[in-house]
Amino acid sequence: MSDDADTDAVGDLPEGIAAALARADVWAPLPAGLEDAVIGAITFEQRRAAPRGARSSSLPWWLAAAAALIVVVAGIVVVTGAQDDADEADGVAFALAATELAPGASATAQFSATPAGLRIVLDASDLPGAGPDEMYEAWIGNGDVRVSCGTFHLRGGDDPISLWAGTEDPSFDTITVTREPLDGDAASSGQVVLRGQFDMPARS
Amino acid sequence: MAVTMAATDVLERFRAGDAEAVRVLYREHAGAVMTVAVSIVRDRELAADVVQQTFVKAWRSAASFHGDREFAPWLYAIARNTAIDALRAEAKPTRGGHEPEVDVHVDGTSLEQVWEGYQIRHAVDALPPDERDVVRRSHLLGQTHDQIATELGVPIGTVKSRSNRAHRRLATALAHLGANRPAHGAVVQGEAER
Repeated sequence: MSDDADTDAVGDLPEGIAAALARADVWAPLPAGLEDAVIGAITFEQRRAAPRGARSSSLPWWLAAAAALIVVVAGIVVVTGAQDDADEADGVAFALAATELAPGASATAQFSATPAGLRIVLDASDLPGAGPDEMYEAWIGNGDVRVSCGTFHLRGGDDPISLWAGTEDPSFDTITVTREPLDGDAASSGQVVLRGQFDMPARS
Repeated sequence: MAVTMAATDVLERFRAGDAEAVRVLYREHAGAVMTVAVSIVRDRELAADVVQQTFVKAWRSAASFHGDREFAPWLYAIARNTAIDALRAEAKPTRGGHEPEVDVHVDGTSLEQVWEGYQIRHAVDALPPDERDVVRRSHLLGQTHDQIATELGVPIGTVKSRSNRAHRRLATALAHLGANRPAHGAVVQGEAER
């Protein structure tokens, strides 16, 4: 508390509130892009449920159209058609949004379930190369469990990166990319630079 | 994206599954949910996941939300349970392996304090940005009014006025916390369905 604060005004606060206002968790910032990630996840579920009619009866057509528009705005791109690699024939791509740690960056992640595991091709734009004492690491998870998909640095350009995960758990729906210091600690640094939602592909 | 929706319509449209209503509610409550998440899981990245899961779970459960209940305690209960579940999951030694009897401890913060934190953050986020900034600098950063005035490049009288107005607003919004501080172990009303 500042020593020349207006004591009359602060004194109006209920007991203990002034002390609580000094707690860091009360001021914890929201990651940039989280709002779009939340809305993207919801509209994605709406889109996925629509063919089954789970919610279609409760949504008027114009609302469904608005949801579809949001899906487009959120950048969720379904990739169909021919691919160069047969393993990617059923690949589905989803957009990742930048956080405040990587303003202006974006990426798509293409998921393909292969006999060897889940292949993820990450195509990032405007994500700077990692510094000399750090790297990037990709993770997929469901909020309860988080699995690393590999590391990369992007110092030689922004060609697509092939990542692998040894799980095809259908509950996994979140992909993040973090900036990791080279400190020998295998746990996530928590420095998320990209975040997105995806739907686990079925193995063809 | 501009969101203009009458406040009276928001909860009704939320119950109908409208994603744009979720966006409106996110902008009002996400900070408070983040405060709950951080105070329980103590990890910013995991807390962000908790915030996202909380709003998605709330949307999935929207039909069970009754209009005669307050939204904040309902959402808080979802956030608290989601954060505790995330903390339990982090405590598991291996996936699919032996699952220990994990009793989650919220380090240094009781669940009453977590609910109090939600309400304080909600009240703080409702302040005008210039008043909120003065409160943050004063309480979180420990800056004096002189220091705030210098950093913001405004007269000290302006800082004091903003501080006064902000604290009066907070005192009004949070008056119930002084009158009805829950006893230790009390359960927050309006528990949401899990």
